[in-house]
Amino acid sequence: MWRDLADWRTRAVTRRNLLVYLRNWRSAFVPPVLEPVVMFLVFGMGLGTYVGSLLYQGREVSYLEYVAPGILTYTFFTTSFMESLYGSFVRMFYQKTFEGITGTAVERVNLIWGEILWASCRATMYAVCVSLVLAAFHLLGLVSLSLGTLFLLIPVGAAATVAFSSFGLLFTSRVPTIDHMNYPVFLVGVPLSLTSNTFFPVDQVHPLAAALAQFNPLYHLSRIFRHALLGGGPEPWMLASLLVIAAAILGLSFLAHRWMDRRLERES
Amino acid sequence: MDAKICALEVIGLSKSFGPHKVVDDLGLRLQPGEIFSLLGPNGAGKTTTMKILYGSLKPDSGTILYGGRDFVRHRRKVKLTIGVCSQNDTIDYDLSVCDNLEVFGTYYHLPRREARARAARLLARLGLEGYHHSTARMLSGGLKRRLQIARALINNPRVVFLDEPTVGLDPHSRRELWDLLHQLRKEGTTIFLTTHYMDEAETLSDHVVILDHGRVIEEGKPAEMIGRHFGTFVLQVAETPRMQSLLEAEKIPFFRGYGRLTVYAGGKIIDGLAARITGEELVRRKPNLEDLFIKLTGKGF
Repeated sequence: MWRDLADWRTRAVTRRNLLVYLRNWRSAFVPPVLEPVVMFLVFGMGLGTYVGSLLYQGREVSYLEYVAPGILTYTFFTTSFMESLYGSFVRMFYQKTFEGITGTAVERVNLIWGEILWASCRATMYAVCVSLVLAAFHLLGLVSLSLGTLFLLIPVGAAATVAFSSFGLLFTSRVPTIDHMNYPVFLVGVPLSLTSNTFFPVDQVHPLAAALAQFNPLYHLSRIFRHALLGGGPEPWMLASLLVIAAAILGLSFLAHRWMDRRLERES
Repeated sequence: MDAKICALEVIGLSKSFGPHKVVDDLGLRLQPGEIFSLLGPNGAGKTTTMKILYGSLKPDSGTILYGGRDFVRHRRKVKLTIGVCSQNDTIDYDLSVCDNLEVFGTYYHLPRREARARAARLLARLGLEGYHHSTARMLSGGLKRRLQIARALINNPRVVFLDEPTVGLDPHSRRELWDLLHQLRKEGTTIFLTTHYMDEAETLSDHVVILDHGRVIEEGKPAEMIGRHFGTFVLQVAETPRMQSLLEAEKIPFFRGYGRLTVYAGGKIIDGLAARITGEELVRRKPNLEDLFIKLTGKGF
């Protein structure tokens, strides 16, 4: 399974999805550019006016600065999670794209990796757009972020999306119809994306929330991003956070392969 | 390739879905460069068999050999040499006709330039020239089917699987596709076909297998198979209570349908019967594969 990650068959699947996506590139790039602007206005400038500033790691930061890294990690998570939910389901169930692909030299393991990598690729493209918007906000003096770190963090976020995409595929492998997608989206995806240290410090809400957050890779990703983007240097806890993300990548992608393989056998 | 080695050989293939045995100890032999038709009523296990053979479904047991090579052991290499046109419409409607083919080329590791060249040749061969840059969703039903077949040929396959390829095609398009299959056969491609059109199977096939409940119930060359089961003629007569009573009383096998009774029996019985029938419209014609199919499977399709 792991050997197939870099196989040409996997790349062929990812390339196909990219080609289809780029057919509508004008509309495709509107959400990643507009969404952070809207979120920045709503959460940062709207809500931020009432919140004012927060104490973060011993220093005072504006809510606008606090929320900026959260918007970026939120983008990494939601884009990859939603793509492997809806996008993969539509290709499998309605468009019969998977049936066409598995009749070729491409194996199911390549197809599943291709879908995971495509969702990650799309999320990373979105995150790059969001980063550019954040960089523009920084240059306009709206926030103060570590710009050099901003783009160095992109590969970390890209790696984490493998876990998020795989997480989405777990549900894709189970739901019978597209209407059933509402359950994972609204019971899992939306709550997780909003309560993982993205828009508020969840670990300060309740000890139980803090304990549960330790198992959440998005929480760790947001923590690393916020710390680094607000000027923090390397810390020992970051290694532990990276290990949690790595474990999520390995565990969730393994499970996604097992479950999706069974679903694809049934769909054949 | 050694002529003695089968292009595809299947030994003891079985597959069940829950308690239902869909493919039951199936054995097949396809010679290189022949058109092979797998026939059977709906639910007989044709598509399941095909999906197992091109690797989309896992069998419960059995051996599949492509050119003498075990499919399990050499699966990835073998899959590079087969092409598939499935029953479902799997066209990428977001892509152009040309991109559909080029993308399929990448699934066989073809360099982009080579895929583009092959795509252009295939589009010309299948009468799709002029549609290169059309969006696939704009094509008519017949053209979509041709595009799907073109995709199955992008890798110059040694064995190509066509699952009911002429469904929805008008008679002209059907015959054009038959011509294409003849050409491919001449070029040495082995064609594995499923169809519900018996005239198609009879006209095209070098070798036919009739499947029912996942088992082979008859196989051979179409003419030989028909010869084994029928005399020179079959008899068709209007369905009347008198005729039905006569056939039942003499225990002569017949099939009832379309307001007619079709009698499948030996030449002497047919001649004797024809001599005794008066006043009813009587047609004596040569038996065909459809007669054989109905006789063996006991049902229409």
